[in-house]
Amino acid sequence: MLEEKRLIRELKQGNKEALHRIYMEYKDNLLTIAVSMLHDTYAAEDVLHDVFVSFAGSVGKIQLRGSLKSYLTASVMNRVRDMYRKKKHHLVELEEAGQLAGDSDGPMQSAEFGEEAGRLTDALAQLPLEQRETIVLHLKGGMKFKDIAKMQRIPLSTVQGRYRYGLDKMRTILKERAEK
Amino acid sequence: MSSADNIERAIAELNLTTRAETDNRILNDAYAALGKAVHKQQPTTDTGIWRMVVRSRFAVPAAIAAMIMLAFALSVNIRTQRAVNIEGIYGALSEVENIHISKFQTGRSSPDQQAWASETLGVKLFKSELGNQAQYTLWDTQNRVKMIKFLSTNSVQTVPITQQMLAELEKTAAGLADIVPFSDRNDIPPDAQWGRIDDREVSAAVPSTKAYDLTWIAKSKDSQVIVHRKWRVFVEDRTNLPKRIEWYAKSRLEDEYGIERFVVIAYPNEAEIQNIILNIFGPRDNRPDDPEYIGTPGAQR
Repeated sequence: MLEEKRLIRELKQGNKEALHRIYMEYKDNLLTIAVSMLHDTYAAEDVLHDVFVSFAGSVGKIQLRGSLKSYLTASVMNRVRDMYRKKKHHLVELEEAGQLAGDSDGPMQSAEFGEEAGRLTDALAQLPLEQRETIVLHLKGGMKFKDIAKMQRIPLSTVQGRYRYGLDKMRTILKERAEK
Repeated sequence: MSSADNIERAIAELNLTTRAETDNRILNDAYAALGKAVHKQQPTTDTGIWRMVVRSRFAVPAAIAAMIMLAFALSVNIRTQRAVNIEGIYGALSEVENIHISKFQTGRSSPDQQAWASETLGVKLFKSELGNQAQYTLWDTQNRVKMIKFLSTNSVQTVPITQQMLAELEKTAAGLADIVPFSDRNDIPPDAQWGRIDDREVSAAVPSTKAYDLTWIAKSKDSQVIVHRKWRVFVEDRTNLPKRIEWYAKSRLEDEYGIERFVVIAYPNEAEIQNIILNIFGPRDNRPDDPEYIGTPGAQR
């Protein structure tokens, strides 16, 4: 925590090395979170780009209340939700044009991650957004259920329910795939 | 991979890596954004009230008017200031760069431990007493040196700081966190109670502060031991910073909380901390022959 505060202070003074260290520390985890949510590498990289450019550009306003990891994870989730809002709008247009589009971009994207990671992200992509977000925030963002509840302004029991149902559904999906 | 445990573990271990060209693109754009942001933050004497004062021949009345409006706004703000919430205290503490903490046991008039920390100077100084042995320990992380002054012999021991020692320091520096009940405010139990103390006599104990209590129930891991805890904080009106902390506890069977210890907090500036270090360890010039002495506490950094 003290190290993070020092990095933020140096960042506020325009220290590129501090920015580099923060980026290198969190980039892979944040990319994994974004890919788990979006199931699209390129869109996830765009999210990562936007998060860090915005983070660096608003450095004077940053006030860490928790950890830097939580701050950046929340920023990624906000961007992901924005993307979903836009994507939803886009999907409606496509459906109106007689095309069908799914949430997942299919195995071509996930092939880049390796078989195991591909299976997981494919299964995650089939969950409702809320369940997926809860699972990813807890397991990849390292957030406690009560913190997720606070962030999303929903009861703790709802968060626990989403997590449990999400995992159950993933287990079913992965089992069905294994049997095929 | 069908059990929930396995799925959880697999997701937790899922790790994707960015491509080198992605890193370059993001970092270049982020550096540019950082440059713009920092440039925007630079104070300039060519704006606002100061430009009015310096340049305009109508400057004086206009600037005075602006200042009166500002003063009025501030006074209104002070009069309508609302009660401090606990987030405000954590927020104010997160901005602190220099701090002096004195820890007292109940009934004692002198502190049993003191700590000074300056993030800007990169130093932490502790004064502790073990039996008859009082000592100062200085961690000068910028110069990577740890110095211990034994007051009984007036001798100084100096050792270089290793990476491992720095990691240890980070852990022990959590001792500084003895001023907040939970190192992460998100760990405050949801059923904890926060409220201002109406008793003026209590608040008057520390001038220019208001007193607040946080109470919660602490349970042992097996929930067998339950302790009712109270954290009383005296918050400075102007800054939201705590000036004094009192720790209380009581068992389920007790009616009244008993005070366990208290902490007095001050917020010195860099120069004051440098002077304290200088007075304890002396300037570097005083001991040029000491081969182990590589730090420069009190020197210009």
